[in-house]
Amino acid sequence: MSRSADGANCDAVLELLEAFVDGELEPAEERTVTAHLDDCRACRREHRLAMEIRSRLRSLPEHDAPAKVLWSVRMAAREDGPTVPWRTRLVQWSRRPASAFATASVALAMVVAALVWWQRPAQRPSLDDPEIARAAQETRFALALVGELGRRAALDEVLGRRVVSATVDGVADALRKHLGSERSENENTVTEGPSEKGANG
Amino acid sequence: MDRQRFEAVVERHQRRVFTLAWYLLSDREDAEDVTQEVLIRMWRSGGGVAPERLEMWLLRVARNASYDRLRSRRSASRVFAADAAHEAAGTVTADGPSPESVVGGSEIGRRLCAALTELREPAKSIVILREIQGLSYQQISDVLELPLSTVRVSLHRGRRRLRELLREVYRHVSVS
Repeated sequence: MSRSADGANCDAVLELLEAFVDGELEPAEERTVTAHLDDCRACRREHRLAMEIRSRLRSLPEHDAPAKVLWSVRMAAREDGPTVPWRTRLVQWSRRPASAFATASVALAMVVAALVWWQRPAQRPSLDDPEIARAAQETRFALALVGELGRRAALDEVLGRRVVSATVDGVADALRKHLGSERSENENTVTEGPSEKGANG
Repeated sequence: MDRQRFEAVVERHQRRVFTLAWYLLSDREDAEDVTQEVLIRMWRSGGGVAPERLEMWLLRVARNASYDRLRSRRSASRVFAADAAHEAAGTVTADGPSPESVVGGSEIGRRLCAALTELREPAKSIVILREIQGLSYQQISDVLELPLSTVRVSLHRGRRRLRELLREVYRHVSVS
């Protein structure tokens, strides 16, 4: 930190230098800075530099935007049309013949699609079908078998494996018997049919 | 706003908008994009800005759009680990022509423009608006939405920083 003969501090003067260059100091501060600059060569150099930079900055050119930019701005404004609310734009759009045709086509296509969907054949399965009735019965039987095996497995925890293995064999026999009796019933039904017809005839 | 008035406004203010964007971004192509974006935004605002405030509004939008672009450029340069030295200095290089490249043969002018890119915000915007574009403190305060005292202090700080950066260049300046 240096102090010149006028008593002003160089750092304090340099702090005020930009405001001094812009003529924004109070008269008393301005007199102090002026006196210091007369006396201090280093600060005088800084003052000249500040003046030079400000002058150079002010001589830097402004630039016009290129014509292509202005052209594309004008084109965008033309394509946009005047700035109007979207509701107004929607009404204007709906009044155009092409828009009305497109809207009617889409509506017609939707109606046709709805009718086709509504008229499609029903494909829900029916329990009257003998194949499905048999499958349902077998499923019920299998579920009962699994439930029974679960119950017996719990007993096996207490009494030992003999109970479960014996039970499995028993249940398998029962299933075999059930399926065998059902098959013979079906066969009887097939053989009885013509005889009934024959008896009636 | 009708199209005729819009074109008159474009004609009148395009230079201000483009100059601010170019000095802020140091890239001509980016400045062109920002100028186009700002002017189209003015059209779409539908004349919602009072005529006496239009210039300040345009400069504010241009400055914000430029700043957004700088930010995205900065994040892109992070992604690609570009120029680490410039990143540390808070500046980012651009590919297109910069203002200093068209200053016209003056070495000092080129160095001055390069030093300008080293300034931090808001000092950089304030120096450009005040010294290159000639706005008053009050107008700058309106554009940047900053108190007058901040504008004044930031301007002085920015110019002082330029002095530090350019001291070597100006060694030849004679002192009477």
